[in-house]
Amino acid sequence: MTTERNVFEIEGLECAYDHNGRNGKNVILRIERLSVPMGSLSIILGLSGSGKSTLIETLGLMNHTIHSGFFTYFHAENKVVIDRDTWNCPSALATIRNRHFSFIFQHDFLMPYYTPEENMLIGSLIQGSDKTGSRAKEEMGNLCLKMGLDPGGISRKKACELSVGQKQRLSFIRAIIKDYDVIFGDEPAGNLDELNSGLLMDVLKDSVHQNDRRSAILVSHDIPLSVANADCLIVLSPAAEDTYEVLQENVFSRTATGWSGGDNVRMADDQIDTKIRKIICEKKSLSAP
Amino acid sequence: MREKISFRSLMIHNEYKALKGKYHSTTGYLFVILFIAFLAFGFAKSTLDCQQKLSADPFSNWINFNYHSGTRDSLLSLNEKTCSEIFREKFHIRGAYFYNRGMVSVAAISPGILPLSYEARTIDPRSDVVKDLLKTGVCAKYFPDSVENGFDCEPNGVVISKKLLDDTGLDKRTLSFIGMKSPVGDLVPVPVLAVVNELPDQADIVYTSLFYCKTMNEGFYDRQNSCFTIFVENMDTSAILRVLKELYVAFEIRDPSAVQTTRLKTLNTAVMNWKIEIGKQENGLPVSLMNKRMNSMVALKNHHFGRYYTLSKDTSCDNSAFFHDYLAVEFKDLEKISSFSAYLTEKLRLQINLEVLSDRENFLYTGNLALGSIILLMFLSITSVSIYLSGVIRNHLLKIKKSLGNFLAFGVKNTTLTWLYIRVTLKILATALFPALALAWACGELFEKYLLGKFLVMDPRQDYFSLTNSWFAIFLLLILCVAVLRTFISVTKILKHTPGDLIYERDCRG
Repeated sequence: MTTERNVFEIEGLECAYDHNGRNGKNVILRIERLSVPMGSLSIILGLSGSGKSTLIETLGLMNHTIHSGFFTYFHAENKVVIDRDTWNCPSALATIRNRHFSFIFQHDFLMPYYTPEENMLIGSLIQGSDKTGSRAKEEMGNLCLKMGLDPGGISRKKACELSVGQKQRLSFIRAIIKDYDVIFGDEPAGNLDELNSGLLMDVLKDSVHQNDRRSAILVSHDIPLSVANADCLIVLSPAAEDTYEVLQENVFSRTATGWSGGDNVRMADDQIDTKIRKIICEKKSLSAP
Repeated sequence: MREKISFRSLMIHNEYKALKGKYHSTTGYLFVILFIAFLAFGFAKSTLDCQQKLSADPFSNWINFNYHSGTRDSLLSLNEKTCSEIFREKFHIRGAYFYNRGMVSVAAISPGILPLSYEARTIDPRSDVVKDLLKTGVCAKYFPDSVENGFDCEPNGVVISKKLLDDTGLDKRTLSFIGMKSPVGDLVPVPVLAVVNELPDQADIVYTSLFYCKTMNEGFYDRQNSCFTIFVENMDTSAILRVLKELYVAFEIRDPSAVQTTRLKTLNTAVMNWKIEIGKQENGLPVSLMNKRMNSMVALKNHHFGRYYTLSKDTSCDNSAFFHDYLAVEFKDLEKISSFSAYLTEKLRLQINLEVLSDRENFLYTGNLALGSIILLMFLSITSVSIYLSGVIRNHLLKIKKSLGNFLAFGVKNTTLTWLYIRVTLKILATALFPALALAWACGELFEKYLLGKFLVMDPRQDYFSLTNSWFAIFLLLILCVAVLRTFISVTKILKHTPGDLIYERDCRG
């Protein structure tokens, strides 16, 4: 699938962590130029420690990781340029996250002593949405059923009494029930079996494709699952020591017939799988995942 | 699930539930700390109040010197020196006054009541002691209803102690005069200016040196008046008419114009007092018989009544033969009393009773000790409440910090979360504080009412347990402020991290 509009445009971005009040010196991710298409499901692939979560954190305005460069976030009404200085105003970033973004992580981060319903709704409540009462109950019920959860069964329990898989699916519902423009997921299916991972991807795709302005950016280790579901694949490749990068030719878009790379090479699903494994491990003598 | 909820209400409701602990363990523990603190505070504050009352007692910061031929010159010199402001400042002296002490016989003005002897002393009407005497709290009743003038409004007035009032069976609401036995045996009505809880030197009656001086001379009241004057206390007009009707018969009055009834203006304006003047008549009854008949009048029964004499209005007195008994030196505080004692010994060859001195110093010391204990108690209570509460909140926040990071990622502002936790803290504190306050108050009052009396002779004017004072209000306010501040610090310490740092535990700053 191709899109004309982008949700994020990155220019000369270098990411590093700024702990202990020092300016981060070790750049762990470098992106010369990258466009993330709007209205699509983009999945970031790479080795562990390659900066996938850093990229999610940076684009999701969750951490002060911009060492240099900037990126632009486009939404329906406007665009926002985010650079290092933007973090001087954390409340403005909180407002952007509140209005436009939603998140799902590898761990559920549910409030253990809240009810499942309260946990599912909390994202919307933070946004100030009026998704409460019977309408919300119905929407939550439908999503639970889609995700293979028994709404009646879980409503009688506290979040802490649910299984890991159930909690993970609840946290997914919490993310998509919120009115969002971009949903960020850091290995959202990491704790789920193959069947539930597939369900999650289906529901997520439905949610994203429901609305042109919606996009999803996920991080995954699961290359087959990503190839099967993504509209766009962004592969992080090793650059210098402890630094990874995103090269233009390592960004692949789904086309009607297969995948198209930045160098206009067209590939089928099985070819891209091999290609991704090669990119991830190139320049370093690493064994393919 | 409730129909309409907001993030704030959901958070406050659930976080309160989580923080109050299983079976209210957190609030229960806070309740115990606060209950003990309130109870201790109630008693400690009352102890301090008692100490301060005694220490602020204008009559406890006094030193009296015997005035006799041996000390006369030294005391006159000391009195003169106390006129100098520098001298007064140096030794924290408020003033020095000569005074006299003696016994007077007083009684309620009613027939058949024998006067009893009471300790009396004089006072300088211009001294600050008079102001102290008439201060609210010391003064039980002041008749002109204003405490500014003192003896100015009635130089012949007396101030009596509450003990004397109780002994004579007089009612302070209707009281106007007290009968003072003159040297020749008449019970002279003397206007009562005020009734006070306590008088200097444990005296029961106080008057000015001038009045005392006048009583030494004959003619301080109109004993030679040809009229027979009756005083009737607290009677309405219809009753006084009945008195007159009976009086005409009892006194065999043939000429009604000889009787003049006027409302007697006294310091106590709240009651109607009367003066019935019976002029000298031809073939009138002798005074002794008039006295007898007056005492047996039915219409006067149940009223204070008796002979009335007008006191001399002279404002001067021939005191050539008049000697003082003491010189009283009054201090603002007792801080310089040791140096004052040394000065007296060295310069004026006067000795202060060292026992009195050490008593005063001990008193000062124990007062400060009580104050220190209260401050320590306040500090400990506030610290333990705030440390415990902030510890509970901090542990809870550390447990859920990833979820808090998730909330921040979803766009909750740090300030919103901080205020939510402050509100939860206040809610927890209120849950523990109000029952603790109620129970402490009930226990304190019950203890004071039913148990304390078994251990000590209680002074009905003294509050042995009190939580209704500004100190306690400050104490409560401090507990709230410190708890809020500590919660604020705990929450901001965690929320200073970015959402990403909290979620991915990238907390290198500790």
